[in-house]
Amino acid sequence: MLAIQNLEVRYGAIIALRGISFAVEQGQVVTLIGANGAGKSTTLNTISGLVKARMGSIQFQGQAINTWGADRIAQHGLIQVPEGRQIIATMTVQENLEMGAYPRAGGWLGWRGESSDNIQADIEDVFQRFPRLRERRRQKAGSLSGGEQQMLALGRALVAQPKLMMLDEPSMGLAPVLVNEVFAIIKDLKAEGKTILLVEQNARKALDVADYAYVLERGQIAKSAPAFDLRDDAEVIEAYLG
Amino acid sequence: MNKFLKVLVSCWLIAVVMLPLSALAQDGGEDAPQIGFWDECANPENLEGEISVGAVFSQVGIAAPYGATQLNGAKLAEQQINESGYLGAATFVLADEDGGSERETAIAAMTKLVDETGVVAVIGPTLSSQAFAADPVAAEQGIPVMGVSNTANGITSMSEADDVNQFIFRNSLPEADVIPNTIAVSVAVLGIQKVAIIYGDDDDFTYSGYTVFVDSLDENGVEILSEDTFQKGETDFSVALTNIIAEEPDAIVVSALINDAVQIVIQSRQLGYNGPIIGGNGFNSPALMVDAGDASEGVLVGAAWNIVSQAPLNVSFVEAYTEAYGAAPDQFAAQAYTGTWLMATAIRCADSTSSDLIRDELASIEGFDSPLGPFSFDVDRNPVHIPVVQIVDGGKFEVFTDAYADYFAE
Amino acid sequence: MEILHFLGLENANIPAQLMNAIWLGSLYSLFALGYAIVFSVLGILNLSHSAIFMWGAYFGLAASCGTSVYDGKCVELNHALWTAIPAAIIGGGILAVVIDRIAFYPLRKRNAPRLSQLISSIGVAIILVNLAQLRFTAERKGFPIADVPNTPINVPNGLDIEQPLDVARLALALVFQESGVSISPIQILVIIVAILLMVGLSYVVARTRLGKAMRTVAFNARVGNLLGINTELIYMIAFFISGALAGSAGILFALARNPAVDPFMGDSLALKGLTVIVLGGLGSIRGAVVGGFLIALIEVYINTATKYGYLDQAFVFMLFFFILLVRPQGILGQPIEDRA
Repeated sequence: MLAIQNLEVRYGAIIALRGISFAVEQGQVVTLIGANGAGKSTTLNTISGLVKARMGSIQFQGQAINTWGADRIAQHGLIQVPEGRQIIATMTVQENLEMGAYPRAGGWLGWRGESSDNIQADIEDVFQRFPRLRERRRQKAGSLSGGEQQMLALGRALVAQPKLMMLDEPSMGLAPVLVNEVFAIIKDLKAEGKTILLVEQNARKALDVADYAYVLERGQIAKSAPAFDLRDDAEVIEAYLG
Repeated sequence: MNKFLKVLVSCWLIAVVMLPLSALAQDGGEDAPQIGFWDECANPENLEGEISVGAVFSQVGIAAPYGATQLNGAKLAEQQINESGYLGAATFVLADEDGGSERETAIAAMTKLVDETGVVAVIGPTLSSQAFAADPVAAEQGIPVMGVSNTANGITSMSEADDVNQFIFRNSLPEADVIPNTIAVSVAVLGIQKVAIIYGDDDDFTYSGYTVFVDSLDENGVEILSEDTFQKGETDFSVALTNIIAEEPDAIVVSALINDAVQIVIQSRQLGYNGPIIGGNGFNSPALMVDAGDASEGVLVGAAWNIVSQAPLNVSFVEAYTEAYGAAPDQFAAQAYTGTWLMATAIRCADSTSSDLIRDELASIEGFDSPLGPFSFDVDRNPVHIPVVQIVDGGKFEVFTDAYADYFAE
Repeated sequence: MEILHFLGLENANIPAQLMNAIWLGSLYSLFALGYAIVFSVLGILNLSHSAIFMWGAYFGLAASCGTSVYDGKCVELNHALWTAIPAAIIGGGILAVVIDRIAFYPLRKRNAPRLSQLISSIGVAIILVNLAQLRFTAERKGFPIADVPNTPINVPNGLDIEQPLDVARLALALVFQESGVSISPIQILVIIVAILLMVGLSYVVARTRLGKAMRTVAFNARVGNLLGINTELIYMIAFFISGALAGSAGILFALARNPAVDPFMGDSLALKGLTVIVLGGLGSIRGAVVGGFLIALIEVYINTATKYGYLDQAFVFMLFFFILLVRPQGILGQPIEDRA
């Protein structure tokens, strides 16, 4: 579904990605693990179109998307849940979820968009999944707790009906109980057949939930294997699970 | 034989003396009285050839609209002076040099006239700022120079050296002379007792106009109800004017430049005020009637000159000018015309091309009848003549007289 | 009466001055709204806003007067007077978009600091004023006076009581005249247009998808991008709306204060508009409106109580300092932590 070939990204003189290649298949949960600064977020941002690659190709459902703008990529169902949630604090929970469906609704003019009933039905599904959000639907998103914000961020992505979800450090900054909750949600999504590219520092949890894993080190893929295998890999245990 | 001789001599006398006189009488009988000191100074005997008087008027730049009519007025005077033989055998030559609209261009023109052309006197330059820069060029060499449009304070005392100042004249009334007359006449005709003032307090011109207004109002015993101010660039005067109108003044006194003046006039009328509005020299522009339209009716403005003045010399000037140029003269043309005649008069009376003698004669001119009315120079070589008060009536400036006493009574 | 004396208003025509405050407040708010829209979406102050205001007036003038206005005053209308209003709104909107493309977009692409974008907009303002001087000269221009309905509403003569419109005019005129208020049809138009635009904009920003997209981009452009919002398009729309507001304010002012069009007509509003949005809360729509009316009210009050035209400005800025001290985010602005 998503195929990355030889991707190289530079920030000025700094080389952030040194020609990485990997793939995500339909229905898979793939994780990128690695230390801070290994290039995980850069990878996601490049796929999302926020950062332009110097070299290499990104294919999504057979289309080369590396020249597209971020908005167009999102419109095609490649949805990122960014690091730190990035919910829109000045808007209500309901409005945040509506913004998730912005491309579905046909953009600002609503041309050839889906009906708002359809979208509201999906929002109701999100409320089903996260009942606490329903209680707070009229509240400003900025007033939610960290865990609730993460749920809102995930819910917002789900309303977009993503073909592929990219989660950037979904457990970051959350209390242990909440971390478990987040991974439980990811497991649920996996069970529903969602395709997910997961970036995590919490490698143990990520490997528990993923089908396949890539280890990023200083902008290069150091290892790649089924997640199950990496859980027992001595080097990985030492470097990331220790 | 004796008898015969007597008759012969008498006939000769009649022929020589009386005929030209009667011809003259016939000439002047139908036409308006002739401008000039024909009787006060004898026909010049020592003048001959060409006598050059310089003219520094703005033909390019921001002051060009004024400079153009100034030159027209001066040229008309030149033509009349020569046709009438005012300088006897000599020809009066107006040596005009474009003074531009900058100080530097005026200095250049003045220098050229004094050093190269060899003029005996100079008229101009157009702008007061140019006069401050260029007048000393002539005056320091003892060449008299007369401004015909400079109204700033201190023109005739610009130099530290008084012997230089002695050569600097102007025939354009400064605002400080126009406003007191405007107030005195308005008060006398309309019986004004209390007024409100509004003025621009961030501009030299409007502020000095305001101080003169206040002094004149005091002298005439008029009560000042309130003083409001505004700044450049403000376009909404409704708040200040609402306050002013609430005080029910007999007149609103305004010291403002033309753009602000137009807005103040329009907005006071919009707010329901129909009484007199007395303006400073900033109002002295056709734009007042064009831009403010009907709102400008009943605005009073003082001026050095008004086209509709029925003084015989003014009527003949307006006629001659209109015939020559196909357009009515403005104040600048009238002042330049008068200035040129004044200079020619000084030359005639001096009966010499000595700049010193010309200066002395110029300084002693008194009661010279002109389109501006009877004209004199005071001891400081500033003009003395009675300004006019104008009122906008029927879309144009009319002379404000006793006939308007009931104009605002309604 | 005691209180009026204490406030220095015992001689004031209070209904008339309140009407002045409403009319000035409408004008200030309309102008400041445009500032606020761009600030809320991009976080930058577009200091060329006052130049767009001025050009809007020229666009309107040229639309109904034709090319004669290039060289001199407008003596005769070529097209109906009302054509000036859409011309100013559309012209102002397009001009603002062009300014964004030329002066802001290249800097935005390079992530230039906000200060350079601010300076860039000052440069644009100067260039626009000079261009207007070059094209139209500094001479003040306006519409032919007879064509602009800005004579105050008075009890008209020869009313036909059968005509409902005349009855309405009579009623309106009587109300105004009884209270000593003088207002012209154009001023009423300004007030109505300002209120409609303010209500309309509030609705657009609060309720429509466009408004939500603008608020999202305002909160964080990257997030907006990830949600599938074409942020550059949103910027363009924001600039267009801002320019359209400036243009409408410009032409309405030009009509109400005819003749008032010259290259410097926006100068005194530039600073006032800035004060309005800082006072009301940067980037807040309601803040711009509240700030606009508040400043108009202060101006009218100080002017009425003290008679000094320059004191109101000093007082406004004193209030400005005070607000910045106790409520840096402005009267209706959100606290800064919330915005980050």
